Amino acid sequence: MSKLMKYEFRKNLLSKLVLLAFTAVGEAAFLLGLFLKWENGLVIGISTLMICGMFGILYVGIESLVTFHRDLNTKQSYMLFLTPRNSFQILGAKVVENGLTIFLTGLFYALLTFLDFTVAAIRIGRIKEFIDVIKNVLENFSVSVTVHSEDILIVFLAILASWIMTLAIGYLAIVLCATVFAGKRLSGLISFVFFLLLSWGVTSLFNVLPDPETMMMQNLLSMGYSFAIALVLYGITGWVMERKLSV
Amino acid sequence: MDYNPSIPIYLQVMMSIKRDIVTGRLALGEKLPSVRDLALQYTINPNTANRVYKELESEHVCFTRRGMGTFVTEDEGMAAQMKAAMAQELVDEYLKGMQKLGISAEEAVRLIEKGREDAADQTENGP
Amino acid sequence: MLECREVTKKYGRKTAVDGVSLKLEPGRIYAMLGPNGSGKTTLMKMIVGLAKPNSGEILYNGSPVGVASRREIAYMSTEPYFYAWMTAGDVGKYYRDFFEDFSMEQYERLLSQMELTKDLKAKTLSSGMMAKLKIAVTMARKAKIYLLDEPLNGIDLLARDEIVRCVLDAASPDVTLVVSSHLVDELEKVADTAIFMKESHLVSVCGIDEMREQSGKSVADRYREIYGHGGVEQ
Repeated sequence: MSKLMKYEFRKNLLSKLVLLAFTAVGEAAFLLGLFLKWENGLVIGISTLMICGMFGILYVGIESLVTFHRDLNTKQSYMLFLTPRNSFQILGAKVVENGLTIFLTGLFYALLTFLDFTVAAIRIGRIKEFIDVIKNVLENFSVSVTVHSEDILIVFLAILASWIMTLAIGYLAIVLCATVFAGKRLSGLISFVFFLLLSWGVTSLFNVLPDPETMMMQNLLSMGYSFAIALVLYGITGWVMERKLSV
Repeated sequence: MDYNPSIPIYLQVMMSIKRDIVTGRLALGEKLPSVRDLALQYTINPNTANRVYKELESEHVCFTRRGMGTFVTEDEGMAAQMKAAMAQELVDEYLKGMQKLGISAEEAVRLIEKGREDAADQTENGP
Repeated sequence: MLECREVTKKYGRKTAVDGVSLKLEPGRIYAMLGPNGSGKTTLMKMIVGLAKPNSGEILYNGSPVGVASRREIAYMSTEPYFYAWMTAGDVGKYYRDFFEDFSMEQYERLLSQMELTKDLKAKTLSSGMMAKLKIAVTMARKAKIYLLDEPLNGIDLLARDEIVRCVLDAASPDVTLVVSSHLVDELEKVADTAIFMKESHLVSVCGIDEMREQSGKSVADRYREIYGHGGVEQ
């Protein structure tokens, strides 16, 4: 499966590089702003980095859905389905590669943020002052934040996990579009509606679950739930592909 | 090589090899290409190529040395015999064609004589 | 040996292959003939497992085709299917990564025979060059069954000879070759068995030499009988 993953990684390499390039620019602006006391640089840097972090993770996910759609519905599909690999392996390589990429991208931005905070704290001297600077920047985007240092990471991971779950729903919808609904009119629309319904369904199901006491537990539960659902969806998607998919 | 669509291909390749032997392009006792190479040379199916050698062998036009390949017969009489047979075939075909046109055998012979004289004149006078 | 039993494939309302039963034996070169849309491609895609039949079954050495059979069955589609970012060299590496029977040396030999180089971008190839690249990478596998879908389509005469030679080179007593075409003459002398498809049905399977010997008919004659025209797309 590592070979399949290698090619999955290669398929969307370009956008990952572009994302990295933008990040580098943002980071450079941030550091220049910090060390040369160039306030506009700081603003540009922080906003670029934030946009990269958020949209990067979103984009990596959405692009994987687009790639999957292309891998099922164009001649390019032969590349995957001619290989002596079954649907679970082919899908698994995509899910694992994409999940890893999203997690690593997330982790990368988390670390970068932490590093930048540290550098800024050392540079400015007092973290309080620095947070005020950031708050000022954020107010320009009319976003208000309250920082809870311990819970940040776990919240962040829970969000990533639920994003991966959403992508798993997307994979299933795309496979259904190419199999069960194939050749029908409006198959794309039907699949999209299916995607929305299922997303709503799994969220509703989660809300029915008992609410744990601490925020930590809540997020851990959410994370576990997301992964469990993603795993079940992976099984269903692979099963449908194995039986029904004609590319 | 162009193929006649109504004659089996193996017969046409056999004919081509025999012609090469009669004209001396293939020497007596010479090693023939392997089945695979024959197939590539004539761009024909390897099974067809195999059949060509089998049929040629049964006609004693060629023979197989175990582990060494297929060779043209070493029998000089065989080559002469083939030449005669091929010539006979052409004559038969000619006469049959003439008969279809309602031309008698005697007339056909005379036409050949005339054809030969015309050809000789042409080579003398140049093109 | 490969066997199709009453295989039917529908795409929506359209039936692409209808109740086809067929046995493919080793040591033979099959010419799969029929106009575009007669079901040749769909049948090949089912044999290699790209498409799944609605009914009937396809057995390779007695078990249903699938992941295991893809190790030994090579398929070349009419359309290009390589990733846009790939060079000819990347295509070779991809095949080496996934097919144990792929030989990089053989691939390099075939590429140079076809006058292609490894740095050529798949995206920028002309249709003739793409056809050569596809055949080179497919024939660099040492498969038991080769399914070549329209390998001569849109290719100039010289390149056709190369490709035909490539096909003949792979022929061996334990190998099955299936070459589809709507150009009859090209395959007449190379194939030993003709498979005629018409309107998603299998019309007949016959030995080419036997046909000539018994009825004095060439494949082209038979083609005209079956389709009412001479193998030229109308």
